[in-house]
Amino acid sequence: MDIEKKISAKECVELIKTKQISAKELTKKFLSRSKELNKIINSLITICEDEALERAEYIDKNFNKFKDKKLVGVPISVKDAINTKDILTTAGSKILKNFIPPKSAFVIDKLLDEGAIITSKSNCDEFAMGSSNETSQYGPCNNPWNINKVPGGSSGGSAASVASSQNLLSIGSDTGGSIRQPAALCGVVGLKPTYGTVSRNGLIAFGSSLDQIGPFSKNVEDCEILYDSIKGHDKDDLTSVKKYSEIQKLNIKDLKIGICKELAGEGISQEVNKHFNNTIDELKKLGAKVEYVSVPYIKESLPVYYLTAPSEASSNLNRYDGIKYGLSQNNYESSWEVIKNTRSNFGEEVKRRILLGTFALSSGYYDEYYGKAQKVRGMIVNSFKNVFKDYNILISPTTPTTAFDLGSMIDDPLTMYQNDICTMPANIAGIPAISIPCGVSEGLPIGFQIMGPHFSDNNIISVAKELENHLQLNILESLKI
Amino acid sequence: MDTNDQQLNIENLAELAKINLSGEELKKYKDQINNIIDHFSSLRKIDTENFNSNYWEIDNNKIAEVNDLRKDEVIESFNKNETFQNAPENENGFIKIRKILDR
Repeated sequence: MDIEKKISAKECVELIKTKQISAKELTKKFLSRSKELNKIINSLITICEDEALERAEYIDKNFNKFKDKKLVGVPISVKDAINTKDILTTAGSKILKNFIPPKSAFVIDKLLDEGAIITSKSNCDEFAMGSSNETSQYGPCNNPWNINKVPGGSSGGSAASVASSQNLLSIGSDTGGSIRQPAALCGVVGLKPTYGTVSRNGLIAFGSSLDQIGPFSKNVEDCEILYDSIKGHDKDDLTSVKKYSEIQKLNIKDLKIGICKELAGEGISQEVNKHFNNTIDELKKLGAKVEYVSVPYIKESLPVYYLTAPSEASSNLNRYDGIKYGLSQNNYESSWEVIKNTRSNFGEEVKRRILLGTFALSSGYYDEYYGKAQKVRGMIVNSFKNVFKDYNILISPTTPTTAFDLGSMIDDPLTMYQNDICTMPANIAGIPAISIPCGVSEGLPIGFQIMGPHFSDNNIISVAKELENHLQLNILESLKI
Repeated sequence: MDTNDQQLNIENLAELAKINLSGEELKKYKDQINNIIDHFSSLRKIDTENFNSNYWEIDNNKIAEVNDLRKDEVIESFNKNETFQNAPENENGFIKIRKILDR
C-alpha cells in the first residue's frame, strides 16, 4: 500500500522526527496524489504546491526549531472558508474568486507553528451554506466511496480529501453539522468543539453564534492532536474563552449514557439504525449504563437554526458590496447599482438564506420570528443542561441516512435542511460533539455521534477513542480509491 | 405564523438585502420562503412566557474570567498595500467608488 494511505498523522510525525523520510519528500507524495485524485473527486479548490514545498523545505532545513512540535511535516487541507495569508480563499463563492487574504486565521498560525504543511484549500458549500457541497460555485465534490454520491457538507472537500488520503488531516467549520455530517458520510472522524474553545478569527463568517472551527482526521487520536494544536484563547475573538475547567475524563464502564430519544428511531433509515444499535450493544458490553432519554424541545432545533443562522448570515454577508474587496460589477453609474448587481452573483442557496434572514429580522416580524427563535434556543440550552445533570454523554446517529445521490435534493431546500437534524442541536446549545465511523452499509459509511456538556471536549474525545479501539473497524482500509 | 401572499413582500426583502433578482427568481423565492416559514409554525405553539431571557449562555461557572475585555491599546494594523490588495479600484491611496448621491 502507498505510504499516503497507510500512515496516520501521528505516525507521519514519527517518521519525520526519526528522519526516515524528509518533509519535502512526503509532501511531494501527497501533492501528486492530490493532483491525480482531484480530477475525480474535486475535493480541492486550490492545491498550494509551491507554498507547500517551500514550507516543507524550510522545515527540513530548520528541523531543530520543530523537533518538539505536534504536527511536524503533516500535510493538511484547510476549508476554503478559512483565511490563509497570500493564498486564494474563496469560501466556495464567485464573490471571492480573487480574494487574497492579507492575514491568516488564528488557527492557521497555530497550525504553522506546530509544523503542519498546508497543501490545499478544500472545496465547500458557498459560504458554508449547504449539506451536500453542491452549492459550491467551483463545482460539487464527489464522495470517494462512490463518486455518484455527495460527500456531505458544507466541509465536504475536507472530509473527502482526508478519506481519500490526499491529506492526513483537515480543518473545517461546523455551523449546523458541517464537520460531523461530511465526516460521517465519508467515513472519517470529525469534531465540533465547545463554542469558544477554538478562535473563529479568520473564519469567513456565516452564523457567528453557531460557527465553530474543528478537526477532521482518520482516527480519534489524530483528532485529539489536531484539536490540541488549534484550541486556545485569542484576544481578537471576543467569544474565545480564556480559562475554563475541563471535566474529568471517564472510562466507558463508568459512564451513564443517554440515547437521545428524539434523534434515534423515527426518521432514521434502517441501515443507520442497525449500526447505531449494534454500537450501543458494544457500549453496554464495555460496562456503560445506557438508556433512552428525552431532551425537551430538541426537535425545534431545525426551525430555530433556520431562523437564527440565516438572520446572522444576512447581516454578516452585507460586507460583500463590490467596493472594498471581492468581485465587483462596477460598470454602473451609481454605487447602489454596483452593490445590487455585485450581490446578484451570490449562488441560489446563499440568496435564499439572505432573504429568509432579512425576513426574520425585518420590522414587524422580528419578535415573532428571530426573537421567538432565540427564546426557544435558550430553552433547548436549558434542556441539555438538565439532561447532563444525569448523563455524562448523549449519543445519536450523526446523520439520518448514508450519503445520498448527487443532485437528488438540491432543488428541494426543506428536505435538504432536514439532513442536519441530528447535528444542529449541538450548535444551538454550543456543546461539543464528535462523529466517528460505526459501520459501512452497501459500500457507504455510517457515523456515530457523541455529545457532551460544555467544555467536555476532552471527555468525548477520550470516550470516542476507547470506543474506536474496541470496535476496531478501520473502515478506510476497504476504501478502493 | 401565517405568511400569506400579502405578508411576504419579496420585492421589499430583495431591496432590503440589496440584491437584484429577476422576476423568475422573485417568484421562486417567494414560494420557497413561504413554504419554509409555514414549516416553522411549530415554534408558535411553544409557550415561551416563562423564559424571560433574550439570550442564552454556556456554563459560566466553568469559565474563569467571564468579562475579560482586552485592553484599549494601539496595535499595528494592515499596511497600505495589504489594505488595497483586494480593492476592485483604487487611486492615489483611496478606494474608488461610483457616485452615491443623486442630484
